[in-house]
Amino acid sequence: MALPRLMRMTTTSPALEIRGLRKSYGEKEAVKGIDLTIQPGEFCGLLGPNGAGKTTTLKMVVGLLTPTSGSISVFGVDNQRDPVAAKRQTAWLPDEPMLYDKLTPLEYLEFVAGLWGIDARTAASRADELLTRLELHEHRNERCEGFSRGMKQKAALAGALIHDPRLLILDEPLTGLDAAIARQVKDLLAERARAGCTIILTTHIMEVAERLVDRIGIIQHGQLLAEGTLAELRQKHGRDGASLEELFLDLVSGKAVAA
Amino acid sequence: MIALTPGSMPWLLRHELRLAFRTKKTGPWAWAVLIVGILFMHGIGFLSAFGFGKMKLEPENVQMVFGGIGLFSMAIMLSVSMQLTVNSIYTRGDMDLLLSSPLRPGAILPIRLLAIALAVMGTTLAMATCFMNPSAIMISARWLIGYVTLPALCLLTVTVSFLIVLGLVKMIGARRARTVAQVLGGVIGIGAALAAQIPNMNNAADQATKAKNFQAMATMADNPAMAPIRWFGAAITGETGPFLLLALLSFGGFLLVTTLLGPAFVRSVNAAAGTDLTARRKGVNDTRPLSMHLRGVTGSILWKEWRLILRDPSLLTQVASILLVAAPIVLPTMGKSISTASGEVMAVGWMGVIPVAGLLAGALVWLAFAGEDAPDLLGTAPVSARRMLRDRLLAAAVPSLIIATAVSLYVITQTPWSGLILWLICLLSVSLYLLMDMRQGPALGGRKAFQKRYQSNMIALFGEMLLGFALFGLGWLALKFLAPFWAIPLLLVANAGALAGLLLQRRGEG
Repeated sequence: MALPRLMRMTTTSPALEIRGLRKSYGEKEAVKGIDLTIQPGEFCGLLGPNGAGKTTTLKMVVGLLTPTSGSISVFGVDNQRDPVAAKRQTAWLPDEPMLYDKLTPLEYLEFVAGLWGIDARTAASRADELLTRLELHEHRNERCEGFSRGMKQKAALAGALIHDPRLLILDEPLTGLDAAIARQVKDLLAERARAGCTIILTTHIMEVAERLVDRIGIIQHGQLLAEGTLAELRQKHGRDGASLEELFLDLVSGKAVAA
Repeated sequence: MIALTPGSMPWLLRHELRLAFRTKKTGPWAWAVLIVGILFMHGIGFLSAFGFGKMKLEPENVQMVFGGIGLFSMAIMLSVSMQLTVNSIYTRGDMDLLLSSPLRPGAILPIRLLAIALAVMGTTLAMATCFMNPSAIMISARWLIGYVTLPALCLLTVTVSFLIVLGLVKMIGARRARTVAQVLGGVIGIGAALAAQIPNMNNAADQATKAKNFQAMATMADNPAMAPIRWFGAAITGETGPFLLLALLSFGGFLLVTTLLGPAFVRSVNAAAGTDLTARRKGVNDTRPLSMHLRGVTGSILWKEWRLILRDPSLLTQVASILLVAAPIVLPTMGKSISTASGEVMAVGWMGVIPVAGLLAGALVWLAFAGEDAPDLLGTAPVSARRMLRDRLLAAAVPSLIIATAVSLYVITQTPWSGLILWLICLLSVSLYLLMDMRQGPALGGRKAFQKRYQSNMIALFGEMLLGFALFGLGWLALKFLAPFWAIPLLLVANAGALAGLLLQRRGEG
């Protein structure tokens, strides 16, 4: 299978640069001044307890929520000044697949490609490639209403990849998937990362974060508690040899301290 | 709050009602719309009661008339309750939770059917009150009997709809039964709306003619073939024997069916659970390559919205039935004409297209905004918010604009100025309905909640009705009293204002 087109792209701007990001809902402050920089080609995992502010942060990155203050730039494009240009480079896959029950996967991909302005020939070829890769090709003309959760998640992932995003953001992509489908998704993500795609995912599965991602960010109460490679985090918090799970639990419970 | 025993039927009923009638917080303006709507409908009710009272009809006339009205109401309620019954069987929702709990399966069915009955009755009773109260004041207090007969009719209807759906599942299987029941529900509703207009086909131009029509009904009352309708009317109007029989049929039938068919209901729910897993319906020809021609963003959105409607038989019949709103206006008024200020003579019936175009656009914009199944996908697409808004509005407006333009063009060939004015009012109607209905918040369950969109939002129902009447009135006034020299510029300005209001909307987020 041909390598994704991302290999051809080069850029000097960070893939994602977040500065002083805040989001309030009335009195409640969901995100309290996050700063984060992710370089092109990095595979980053955001970890945190439920309600920590991970999804809110990512929704602001993809333009679904407007920050109360702070800035976000995607490959040097400010997503509030030029949201269309920022969105053109980004794909968002939420934990609940965004599908239309009455459309087939092929029609769904056709629709998503249309939204991103991909020409028909390119879109057809990418759709074919992705559906084959995700073992959905034989179901391409069946309506999604009959699909299992795993199949829906794969169709949604294909939709996120059809426009060949430079920044792929996934919120709990492996939730509810069986081992075989989770493996397919993980393989595809690793392949995309090797091809140069910048990937950010949130997960509660520490083993996935430990195995897949290059850098880890831990969010709690709307703040970035720690950020770096696993080795850097261990060193910074004086927990040599600790697993990510141990480190994470220590950090969110306040036991770990900077060394 | 009253303490109810957890797991008991009243406790379960309270849970169902809480789910069915949980409304969003409404501001004072929304309450104002609701109150104005109710007062307005009561005003119409008083006018009707006044006219009806003056007719001095014989009891058999009254029974025939109310027998007909009762049958019509029952058919409409049957249509709605069949859709809701299908949902209760096929949309799992909390069914897994209920069936896996230690609740008796036999307790689930009556509560679910009662909830459907209350949901169906809510809208019907809200409308009927506006006629029952004025009739009780102006004619006789016995019209308050409607507060008993309507719930009885509703219960009977829901029981019948349940038996039909269950019978279909048994006869043709769970998967096919779903589509057949949805289409049948739609056909019953459409048929009832059309049948209700048969008496109006013979145009009743004045009170004297109307009275003659009722006299004709009295003659029909003597016909033995019409005895069931007359009996039905007698039951609805509270004649002791028929009324008690209706009550017995309703409440007894309900108890009997829910007691005996609880296990069959559970079996149907289980059979329905398997239908999604086996649904492998083809969307396009296998050999056809990805059909990406011409599209672009606008084309993609239009194509998506329309295809999703065309593929859903239930949605299609519900949307199509909106066109029947025209029937009560068009059919009786087709023979009447209006002498316009431009000196032309136009059939009043054509003005029915004004509310219809608006209502259709309102329904489609609800699907495009409140009913959107993948709002995040549209929100993350690299399309400016304004363009996305414009394209979604366009998808909702185009069918209405086609209908309005086709009707107006025909009228233009007969009466050019009136046709043009009619078209401009239709455009205004479409814009105002879009403006009103696009503001409704996201619906839980997406487009599947279309059928129930008024259930927790009576304000939207009254708002739509008021707007329809207001636009119809505006059309009549503009045609009757404004010369084209004045009407056309005024309507152009109004349209420009409505369009600007639409395109300057911002869909809020959190």
